[in-house]
Amino acid sequence: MRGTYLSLVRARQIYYTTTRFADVFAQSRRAPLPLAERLRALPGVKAVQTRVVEDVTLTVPGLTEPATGRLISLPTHPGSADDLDRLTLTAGRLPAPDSDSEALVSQTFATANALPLGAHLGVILNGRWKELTVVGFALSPEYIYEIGPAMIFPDNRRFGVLWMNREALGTAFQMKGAFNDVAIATATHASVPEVLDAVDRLLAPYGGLSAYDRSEQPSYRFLSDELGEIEVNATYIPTIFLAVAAFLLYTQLARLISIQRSQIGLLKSFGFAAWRIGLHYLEFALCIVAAGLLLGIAAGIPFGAALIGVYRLYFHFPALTFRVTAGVLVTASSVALSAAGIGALSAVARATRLAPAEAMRPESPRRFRPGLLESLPWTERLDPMSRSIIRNLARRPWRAALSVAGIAMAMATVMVGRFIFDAVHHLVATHFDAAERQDVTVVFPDVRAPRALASLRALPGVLSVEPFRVMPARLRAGPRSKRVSILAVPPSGQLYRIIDVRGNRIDVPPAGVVLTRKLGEILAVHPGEMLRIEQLDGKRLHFSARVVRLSQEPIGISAYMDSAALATILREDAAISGARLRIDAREAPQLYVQLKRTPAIAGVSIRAATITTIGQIMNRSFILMTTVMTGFGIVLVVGMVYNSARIALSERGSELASLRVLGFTRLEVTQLLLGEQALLVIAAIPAGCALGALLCRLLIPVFDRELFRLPFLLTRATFAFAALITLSAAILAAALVAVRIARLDLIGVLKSRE
Amino acid sequence: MRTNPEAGLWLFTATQNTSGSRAVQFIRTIPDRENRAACAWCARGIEWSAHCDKPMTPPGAHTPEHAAMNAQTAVRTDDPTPPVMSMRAVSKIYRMGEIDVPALRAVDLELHAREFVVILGASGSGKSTLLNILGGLETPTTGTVRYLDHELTAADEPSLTRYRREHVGFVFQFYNLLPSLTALENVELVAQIAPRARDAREVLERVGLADRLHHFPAQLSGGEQQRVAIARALAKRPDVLLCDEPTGSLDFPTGRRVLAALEQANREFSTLTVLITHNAAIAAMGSRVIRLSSGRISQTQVNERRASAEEISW
Repeated sequence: MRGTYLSLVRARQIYYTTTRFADVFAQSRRAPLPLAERLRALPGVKAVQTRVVEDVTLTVPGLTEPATGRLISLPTHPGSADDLDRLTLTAGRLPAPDSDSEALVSQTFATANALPLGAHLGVILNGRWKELTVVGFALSPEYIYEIGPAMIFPDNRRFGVLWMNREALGTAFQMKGAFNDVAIATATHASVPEVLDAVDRLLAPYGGLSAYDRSEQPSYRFLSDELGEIEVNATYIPTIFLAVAAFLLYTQLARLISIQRSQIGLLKSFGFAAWRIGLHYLEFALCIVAAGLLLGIAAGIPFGAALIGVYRLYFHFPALTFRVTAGVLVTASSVALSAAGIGALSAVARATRLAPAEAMRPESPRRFRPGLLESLPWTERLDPMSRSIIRNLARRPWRAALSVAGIAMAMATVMVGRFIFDAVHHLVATHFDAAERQDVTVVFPDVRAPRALASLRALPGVLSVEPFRVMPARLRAGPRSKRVSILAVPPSGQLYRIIDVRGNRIDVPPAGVVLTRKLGEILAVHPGEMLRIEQLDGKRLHFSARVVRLSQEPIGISAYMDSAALATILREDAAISGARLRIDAREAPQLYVQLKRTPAIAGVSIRAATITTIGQIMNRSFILMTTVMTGFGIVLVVGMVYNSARIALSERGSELASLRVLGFTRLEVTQLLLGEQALLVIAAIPAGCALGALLCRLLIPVFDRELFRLPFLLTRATFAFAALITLSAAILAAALVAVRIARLDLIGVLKSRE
Repeated sequence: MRTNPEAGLWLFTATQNTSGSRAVQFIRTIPDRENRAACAWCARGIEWSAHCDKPMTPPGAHTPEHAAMNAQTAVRTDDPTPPVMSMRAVSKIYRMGEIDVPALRAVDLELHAREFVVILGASGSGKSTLLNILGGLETPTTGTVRYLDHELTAADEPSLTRYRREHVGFVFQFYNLLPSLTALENVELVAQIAPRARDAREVLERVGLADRLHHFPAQLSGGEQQRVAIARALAKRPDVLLCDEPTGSLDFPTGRRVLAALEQANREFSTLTVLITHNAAIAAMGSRVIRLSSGRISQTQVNERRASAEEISW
């Protein structure tokens, strides 16, 4: 798994390097082309690529809802030093140099919508309906994840990137000789913050938004988050697995040595030193581990490759292949070896402490003495079989405890997988039930006057309309700052609610801001403290606002203000950047047709589609983890129970066979042996619940991200699921052992002991 | 039917020996249910008093005359009552790779209620195989084995388990007690599964362990452990008690105490007892001694006077 993670990181690295992924990004309203030269001249800047970027509404064949397309100009001098964020053409060709109707489409968008080469997409360019022809598919390092306006998660069906000739876009959007987007590569040792400042200063007169580095580039961020999750898994799962493996190896060796004690005695009586014998067994352990390692590597490589195969479906890196690095192998091997070594050494230490004569004698009947059991009043009523079971467990409390711990650990693994799955679903449900309640969100290309609402209200099927204003801003608190959007909503808004921890509505205060808890943490501000807010569009005003309280939406981070209050501060007339609509579902198709043909709309997002998409994305990043964790959990429980029952069987085989000779049925003898395991499993279940809950709790900070935050939510179903899986796995292991019990050698016990 | 000349000879000698021989001490039966069934002489049912739990006639006999006959021939190999166990032409061949190793060759044998049969043989003589076959742990390669009117050779595994559970008591060389249970619990554990079990405490008292009831095997001497094992076997009121070298891992005085316990059990519970051993000294204890060599019965001897355990030494 570690190998998978490193392979992904490496693939990303290679991809970013070969495609020359930019370091700094900036947008402006309209900057003249010669400004590019001044940008290039800035200290620390290596290359500058200017682009024309516009979001438009797309009509996609086979999709009733409108989609959003991001039109990006192709570089005028492909392959030059200034050509950053290079495209990888996966199919087809580049648009003809003078064509104004041919476009490249992002591979993911094409795949999601099953677009063939030569497909036609409807688009409104500068108020005029135009049909674009898809001539090729491409991948871009800037859009490994394609996240559209007003979107938090990628939705590959409804948002896609299209690349067209600079000429065509320049004409359509009055950007001839100008640009509105720039990607900058910095020199290796350049100070990125200084470059950002310099870029801001140059672009400011041209409506520049604040420049940002990779960490705030949506695709990069999203990818880093996802790789982070994979890294957690790559660390956490093998750790548990190795701990249990070490335990299993330890018990196996202890058992082996107890069987071979007479040989050990013989060797010692021949004069072999204890350390020689210890060495022998250590060698033996290391041989096992070496064989295990070979097998593990042999099996691990295809497994890693298979995982990569799954990730290749999600991450569109051209160079994503599974490569096992020496480092991964060394780490895996040394962890496995030291686990085995510790296990083996402690077992061997015990064996070599035996005096030769003592070791050569068969073990005397295991010592049982009246103990705790006899002192409990209710044990009088237990039958001898139950007493035997309890005494056997009580005699080796540490071993029983270790078994319980192992099974509990395995169960906790299953629980964690299930918890994440549940939490994600709960998170999506809460967010869209309590916070985002609109059916459709419409985003304008720029800030509009409130009268735009009237035309939205006039659209078919629209029941209610709630405007919002999104203001890009940089929030500063002391030395910390964060670029976010301030969302200004009407105080009595119904379609978007700010919620508290219980999902109850928080009213937007008439003055001051409400921050998402996570944003509050990033800025280290608490309610009552002041924030500096720098507007990044329009008049670029700077003002201060008091943090009134923190809110608890599980998805995204935001700062909220009252729309009237913001309008007052900005001295603008209640400008709006979009609106949330509640619609009549029956009239949705007509509404979508209208929206597709409305030029004044840059993006449309549809709640139902968003929920589905988020569900899909969450599933795909978590389902693998859930499945792997559940699978590992099952393997661990089966391994633990089987191993522990096998040890019991090898220690007490002759007891059980004697009972069979005395006329006990297979079933009764199996009960006697497995009764012990059953008690262990039963004890492990509550322990597993507690341990699982603890592990889940520990994971909460890991999944406390800007993008989403998992709630600590353990349902009864999760406990039941984990318990059921544990029980089933235990029953499977029991069945395996029962087969061995059936094969007990009854005759052997008459003649020999042990 | 008799294909084994040795076995035929044995039956002949046995008849010769028993006819008109002096009575060996009559083994008094305790009038418990399973012994009420039939007269040991004529196999007819025994009448029981309606008001007290006693037979109208001397124990185990149909009439006082039959009681006298019984008393005359307390150990009878030509016993007209059906044998408890019988083996006919039993052979057992183990396949070891390419070679066949015969362990038993055409053995005929009848075992009757109340007998104390010592099977004597060197290692490799086939005595363990014989015991295993009697105990339903192994099935012969050819021949038939019957327990009363059940043919063990035709029985499946669950039936054999039931046979062992209800009718057979085993005593092992290495006692094979459950170390996690006290003496009493070890006996109780087995008594639980038997349909007509004796009281565990009482049986332990009979073998002289009244003061060791709550000791674990690790707290008992070898001889004590073996006596617990005997009590465990007897507690289920077996029809046959099979003992596999019960003194094999004990020193002489302890071994003798164990033998005394077996002798006492055979006397007091009238249980058919089969003891295999390589120790010739023990043979004197048996009512009948069967010597095995190379898988065949080489000699059968009826002891007209059984030595008591105290008289034996080795």
